[in-house]
Amino acid sequence: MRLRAVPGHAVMTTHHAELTDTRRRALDKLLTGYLECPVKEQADYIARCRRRWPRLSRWLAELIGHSQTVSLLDRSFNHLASEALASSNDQSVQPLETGRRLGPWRVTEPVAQGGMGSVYLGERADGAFELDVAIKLLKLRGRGLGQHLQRECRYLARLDHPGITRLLDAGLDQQAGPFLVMEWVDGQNLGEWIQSTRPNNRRRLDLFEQIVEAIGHAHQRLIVHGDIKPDNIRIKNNGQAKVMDFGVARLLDAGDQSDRVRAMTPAFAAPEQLAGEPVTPHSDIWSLGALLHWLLCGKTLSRHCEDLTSELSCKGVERSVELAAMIGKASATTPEYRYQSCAELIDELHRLRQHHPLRAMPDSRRYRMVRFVRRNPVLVGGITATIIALSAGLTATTSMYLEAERAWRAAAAEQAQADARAAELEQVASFQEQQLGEIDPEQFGAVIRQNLLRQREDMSPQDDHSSTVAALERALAGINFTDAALESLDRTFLDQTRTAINEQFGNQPEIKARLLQSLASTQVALGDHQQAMDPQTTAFEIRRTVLGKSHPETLHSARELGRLHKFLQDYEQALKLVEMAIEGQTEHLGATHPDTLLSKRDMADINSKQQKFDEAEALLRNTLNGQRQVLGNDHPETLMTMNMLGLLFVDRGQPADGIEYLETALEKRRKVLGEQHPHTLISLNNLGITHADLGDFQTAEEIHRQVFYARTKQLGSDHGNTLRSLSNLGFAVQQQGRLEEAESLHRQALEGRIRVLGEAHADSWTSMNHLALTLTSMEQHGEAQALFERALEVAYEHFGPGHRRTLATASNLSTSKQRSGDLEGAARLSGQSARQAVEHLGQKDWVTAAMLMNHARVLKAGGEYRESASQAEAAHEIFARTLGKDHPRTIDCTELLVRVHNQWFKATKDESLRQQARHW
Amino acid sequence: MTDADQTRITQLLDRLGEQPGAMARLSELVYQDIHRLAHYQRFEMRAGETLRTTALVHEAFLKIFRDGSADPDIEDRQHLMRLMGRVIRQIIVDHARRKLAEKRGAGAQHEPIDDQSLMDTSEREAAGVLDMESALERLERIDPDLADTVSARFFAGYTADEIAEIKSTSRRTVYRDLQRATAWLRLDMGG
Repeated sequence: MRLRAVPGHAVMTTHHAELTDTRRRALDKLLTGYLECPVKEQADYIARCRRRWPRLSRWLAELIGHSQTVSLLDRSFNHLASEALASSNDQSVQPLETGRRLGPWRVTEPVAQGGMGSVYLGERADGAFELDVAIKLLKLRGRGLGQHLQRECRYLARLDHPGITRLLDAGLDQQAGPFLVMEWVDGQNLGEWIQSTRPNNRRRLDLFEQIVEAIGHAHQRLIVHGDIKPDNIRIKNNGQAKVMDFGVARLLDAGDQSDRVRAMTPAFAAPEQLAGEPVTPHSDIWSLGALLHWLLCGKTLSRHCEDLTSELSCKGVERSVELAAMIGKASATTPEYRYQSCAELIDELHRLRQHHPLRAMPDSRRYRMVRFVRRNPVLVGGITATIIALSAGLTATTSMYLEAERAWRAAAAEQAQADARAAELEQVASFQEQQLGEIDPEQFGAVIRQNLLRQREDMSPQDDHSSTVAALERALAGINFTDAALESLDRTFLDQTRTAINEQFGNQPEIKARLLQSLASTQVALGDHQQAMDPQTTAFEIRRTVLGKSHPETLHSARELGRLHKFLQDYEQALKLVEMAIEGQTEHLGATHPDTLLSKRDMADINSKQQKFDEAEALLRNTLNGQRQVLGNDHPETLMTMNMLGLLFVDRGQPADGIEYLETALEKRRKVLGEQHPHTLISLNNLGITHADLGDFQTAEEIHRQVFYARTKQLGSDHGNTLRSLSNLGFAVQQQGRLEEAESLHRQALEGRIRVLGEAHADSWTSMNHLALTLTSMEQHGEAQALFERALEVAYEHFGPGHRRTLATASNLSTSKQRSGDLEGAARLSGQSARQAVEHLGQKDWVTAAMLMNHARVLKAGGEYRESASQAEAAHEIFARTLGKDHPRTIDCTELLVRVHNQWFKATKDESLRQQARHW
Repeated sequence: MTDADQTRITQLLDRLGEQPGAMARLSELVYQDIHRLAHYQRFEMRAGETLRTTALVHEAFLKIFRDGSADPDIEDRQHLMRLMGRVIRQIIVDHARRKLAEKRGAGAQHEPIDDQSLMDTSEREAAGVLDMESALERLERIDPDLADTVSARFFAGYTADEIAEIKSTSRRTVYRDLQRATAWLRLDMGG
């Protein structure tokens, strides 16, 4: 049916006006004849009619067309009927006269008549105190109604909220029937308010939030409204929303069953409510969704609406996509898909206001990105969302833990529904974890830096750009922007959470622990491990004390804390915690439960970091077998374990064995995850490094080139991971002796890293070393040494004196000095780094061997053969033990020993030395 | 709705007030149908349809049998069905007329786009109801029985099966009648 926009009766077209009643009767007979006709004869019937009654047949064709659409008309009728009912006045009830007494109350004037009863303005009849009240007469009959009303009244008295009209009294009048007495609210109902004030969207949403809050207050007291609709909302003159008729639906529902009039307004009633099921908080949430729709666009929510978004945007509602998603979620047909509480809905409104991603929105990175940029205009500035491509670097394991945490949290939140404030804050924390966890601080830092430069340009457009920007770039060079980004995230978001947790939940240990765990996970996801330690430790300790050491939550915290210790290289502590987790999980979940297996893999990782390779291998094989059985051969976690097993062999100095696993993992990842998946690229990258480690630089070059192109395409040329691949590629090229090509690649990588990450970053340090080494090979010692010295400063500052990277730079610098003829300076540096290596890394680290060997080389060049030989032998012993006799480094060292002894022999003509040289 | 019907309903309502106690005699007959309506409506709802007529039926019921007092002289179930259809139709049409009258009284003005729909919804609904009412009146002139059937079906929410049962006719016939009525209504309402 077509509804006319202009009110009025149907206007007959001239076409229709020719239809006299006589013709109608004749036509009706033809139509009946057609409808009674078997389907295959219908065409003939029409043809016959057309021949005999050509004029009438024109109408017939039209009627036949209309006769096919019963259901459509059916819907229209229903729709119209409901609208009429919603505001239909019941003329059949005689109004109460002014002055009529009902219990201690007196009617002063009639206010409204509605489907469920009529409302009067009233006052205290006994003059005990002055109070305007609303008296509501209910159309309700039944036995025991008086007691029932009293009971309900006591029950409703539990509601005490500024957004809810108070129920003052209830009673039963012999003639007038049951009545309710409520606080009188001066003001307008929602519809009048909208018409008279024409509030903007924001004001409408604020008001909606007030309403949801009031309903939430009632839900916490286990009271359901049951009939939320515009007519039941009044707006006081000060703008305060008041929800009326709380519990009236329930009151009516509980009346005499045979004379039951359901108190609900169909347009605002949840599907299950319409189906006759009792009202619940879930049905109230549905009604709130419908109310929000009505508030925004003035129409009742259509249950058949396919495209809420365009409906809203047609009405000029801003942010229609998000609001449509909210309405869709609140008014989902299945209660489980709705917001599970008013607190959740309020949280969503806050998110909307603060441009946080909505729960109701599909989980899309791009959407979240856009939200992030929206609410951090200062941080992000004019840079478009695509520039901050969020890193895909989080491992599958981490996200799985977060997933489990979230799932668990959802269940727990239901349990503790009463503690809405805790749940709210927790949602904030979980949101932070989910969202911030996906931010790549490295890239975020790069954006901050670019932003600074851009703002500088904007500030003084007349300046000579190149010089001012260059000056600023120099000034910014000393800043590590990854750290800066982390700090700013920390200050912006996590600080508030920390304060809130301590202030609000100091005396609720379980909730506090939950929130702290959440906070710690967020920080870990951000890579801010140091900051995570404190909340993680506290969360674990609270849980151990309060819940006991074998509680699943305690075990979860234990494992997370263990991982943190592992990351911070406190392996003993890490091992203790992970062991505890495994023990508990084995007992409660079983030895082959996926979670137990993940803990075992953590343990293997720690073992391997402690150089306990055999234990690590056994554990990894055990995990791998378990995962193959439980998760299958191609599961991403299974592949992760396989990859780790490969890396273990590489670490242990058996790259040839490792390659087998790495290649298998790579193949499967290609197949399961796709060629371009970040995990596949990580696999490929690992394989490239391993090939380089094996001395197969040609294969390594091919692989790194492939990863570099893929990452450039995916992440852009300035992303940290892309630059890492570029650097690996440069190294492979350099090792094949193509120095000029390598120089150019390394320069490109270094420039990119300084631009994106700042000079003080570990990756920039790597590139300085690579470039300087290449330059050294090209005998360009001046620039090489300047670079090494800068790198050494960065290393001291960043890694500390005994760190392998600091040592490596010192040793490189010494090599360069040696080559340029500064033997004294070279020997001083190489000696120093060899001593520091022995002191900090010990005798079991091949880096120590490399330092010793380097020192040996410098000493050899200075003619100090005895000392050189002794250093080289010590180096050889460590190489052979850690990497194996056939490792290129070990062989390299052997060759050095031969040369040292040969030269020593040439210098001294001592035959035994020649024999030793032969021995080597 | 003819004047005779109007009078009949008015008389009915008057008599309801005069004859206390007659309600009980009718209750069986009446509740049976009302309960069936409720069932039907629930079923329809599950099929995704909104069902508002229950409340309207009650409204009509209250109108016909006010507060347990009278015997409205209902001959049989078919009579009740007709009555229900007409009373509900009357409630809705009256409402629509009042609505439009109020609107005209207030002086129709153009609202800003944001709130136009708010004003327009019920207004358009009302206009639609009156369109339908004139189409129904036209149908009544050529086939009063068909107009009753369509009112029972669409206004009072009786199912085609129930109508067939009450009228002691075949379901097929009722379906055909409804198809025929729909065709006429749509034609007269402009498609």
